[in-house]
Amino acid sequence: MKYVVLLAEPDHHARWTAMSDAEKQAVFDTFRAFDHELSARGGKVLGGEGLASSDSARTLRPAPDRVITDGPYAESVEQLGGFFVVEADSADAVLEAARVMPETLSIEVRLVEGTVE
Amino acid sequence: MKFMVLLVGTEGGWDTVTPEQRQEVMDAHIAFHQAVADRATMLAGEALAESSTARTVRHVDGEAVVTEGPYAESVEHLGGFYLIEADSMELVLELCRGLPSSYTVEVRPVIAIEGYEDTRDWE
Repeated sequence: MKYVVLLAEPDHHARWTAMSDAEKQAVFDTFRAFDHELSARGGKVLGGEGLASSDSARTLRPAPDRVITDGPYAESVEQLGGFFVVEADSADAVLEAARVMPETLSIEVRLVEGTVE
Repeated sequence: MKFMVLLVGTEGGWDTVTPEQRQEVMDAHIAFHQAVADRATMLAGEALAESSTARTVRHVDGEAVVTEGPYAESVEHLGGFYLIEADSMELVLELCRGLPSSYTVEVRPVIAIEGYEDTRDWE
């Protein structure tokens, strides 16, 4: 099955820009560890991206107005910092593998529609 | 430049819409795919299962704890996304106007992460 893995934490962008290169490398090491842990459970990372700060987002609002506003669709304490798309046999496998990623993160695992769990 | 397009809306509506309305939504996505192919590049896109089916892992006092539900409680939920390569955010926003008008659509630039080039190329 395919899953989307969302990585979020409070004040993500501020934390990220305050990190040294060494600290960032340590975070990337955990992403590689996630990849490794997932493979060990028969899964696979298909892709992933880091997102710019939510300040840089622009949002198209729904009908009838359909105006474009600056910023994310909702201000929230936890900001989405990045995501992966993975293949795995179960959400449990993904959640277990995700534990190696930084402890400040909330990591959501969501099934992609059209795949049966 | 790459952009993440987040499709946000209220859930539970899919079961209550008419077949005609469902077809309209599907047609809008098909047209969107075509418009993106014509004027930009579609890298990835998925519809997501309902947010109530999500599970979220957090660390509490050093222990990994899994809870039911998405990471953020909100009225509107993430229902899907697209990942698009395009010349500008303005172009992406313009293309997004073709998506169903009931959606809230957030467009966010993707950052190039220095020091981490292992990301798979969207197989």
